[in-house]
Amino acid sequence: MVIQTVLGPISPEQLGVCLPHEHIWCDQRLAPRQELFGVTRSTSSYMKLNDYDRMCAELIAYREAGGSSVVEVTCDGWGRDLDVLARLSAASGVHIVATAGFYIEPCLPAFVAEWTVERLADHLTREIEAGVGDSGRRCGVLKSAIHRARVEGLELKGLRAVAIAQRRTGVAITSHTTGGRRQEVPGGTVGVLQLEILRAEGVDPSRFIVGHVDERPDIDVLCGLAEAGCFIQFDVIGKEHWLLDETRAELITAMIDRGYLAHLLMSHDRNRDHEMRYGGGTGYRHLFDCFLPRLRRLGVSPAEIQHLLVTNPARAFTRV
Amino acid sequence: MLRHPLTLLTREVPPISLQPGSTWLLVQDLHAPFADLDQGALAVMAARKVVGREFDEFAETLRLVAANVARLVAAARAHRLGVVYSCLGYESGATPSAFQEATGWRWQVAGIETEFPPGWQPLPEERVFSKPGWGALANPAFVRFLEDRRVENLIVVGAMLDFGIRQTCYELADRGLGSLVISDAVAPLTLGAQAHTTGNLAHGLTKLRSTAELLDLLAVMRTEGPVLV
Repeated sequence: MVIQTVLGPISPEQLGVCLPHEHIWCDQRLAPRQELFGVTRSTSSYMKLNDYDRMCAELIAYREAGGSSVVEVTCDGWGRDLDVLARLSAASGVHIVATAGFYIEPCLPAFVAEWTVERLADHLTREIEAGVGDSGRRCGVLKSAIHRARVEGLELKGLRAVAIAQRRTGVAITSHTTGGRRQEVPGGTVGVLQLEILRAEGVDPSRFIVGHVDERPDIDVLCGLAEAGCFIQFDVIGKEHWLLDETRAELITAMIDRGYLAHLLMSHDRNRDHEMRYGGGTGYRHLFDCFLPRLRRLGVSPAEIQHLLVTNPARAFTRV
Repeated sequence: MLRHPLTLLTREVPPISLQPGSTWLLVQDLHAPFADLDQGALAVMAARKVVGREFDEFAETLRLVAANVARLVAAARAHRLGVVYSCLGYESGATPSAFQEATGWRWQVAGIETEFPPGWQPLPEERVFSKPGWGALANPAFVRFLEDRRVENLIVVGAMLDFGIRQTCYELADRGLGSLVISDAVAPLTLGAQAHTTGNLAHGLTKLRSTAELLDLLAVMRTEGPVLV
């Protein structure tokens, strides 16, 4: 029963306070099919974090606030670098879990189109079991990203490969579920559609983390996913251009009241300079400095917060 | 901060089916008054009033999206989708609308004021409709045109996303017709308005795709038949 970090396996008890969906090192300008983003997108809107010293300081600030671990969800295709993550982990003292799998279609490596599902699954399995490339550094979680209103094309192919790799390795699948077209998706998340395919591929729903549920949440959809066994991840906390933190806190509290405490995860999905402390934002400490006080004011107890920050991530990211 | 709380309450946008016959490409307000950034009416009026910089974002975006508009018009023709134009202005022999009188944008849809850049010049068999205000469906002749051809959905490109294109999408939705706005083939007046308009348009009404995505979809349509978006 271990959790795989970039510096090696740790026990679930060592994971501690964990942010389950963040970026530490990424550069979306590297995305192979940028034309899918459209020409009117500003280059400054691309997700990018690539200043080693500053990111190290951000992680140290997170650790000093009580943080212990971060799941880094950048996938192959737009700047994932496990060697850098390992150096950052060693320097900051923060456990970092790296990700195998696939981000949205504009960011997919060319080989996703060329290889079979089986070969992609073999590749992902190797990144979990043996390591990425020749680095020997292993990933600890799989990812599936869907940025359209349906699961189709290369993203469907990637999801099937992820499902096969999950069955072989036992790690969790984290997900990106909505993207810029979230207004087209029932309940704001394609997690329902992803789950349908994962189930058909034999994946246990309890190994599936439905991400980005707080871009456009529908509590009835979220409770349905939790009832099925999934983790429900409020992971864009602090991004109030999508949803007010006040509303996020109310939704989380309502889900706790409805009996789904054991299914909830919380994170920020930091991925741009201006969100970090060095850029004027609140970085990885937003949860501690701003959001947990909100939850406390709504009556969420310290024991329940311990579940959200420690117990649930440990269960989610432990290989089974 | 740009939030779209209506999307928390409204239903999802239903899929639309792209196929020749029922899907048309609408090119809106890309005639000379808007599209000619040197001699067009908008540019001339702005220069006369010494407010040219206020239209910098419009001009910059129009230059960016122009190539995509041309690619989409060519692709629509190649994939046998009809192409139709709607332009703010009044027909020869008619009088300017109240909107045109109020704004002073009194352009006759004829002659030099409806010249188009070469990239999306209408073919002789393609119709150019006038529109009295921002929305294309305010012209009953255009509505009849859509009804007669049993058009079910329109792919929309053009200028003034935050005014005319938004209004047209609302009018299409009111009539039960689908709309697919190509996000990098439309020019807003300002970039701030672009972000807000695209977010609000989508609350149950309109789909958004990039040019590259649509070209991929049209390629699928050619080989596999109608494709759902």
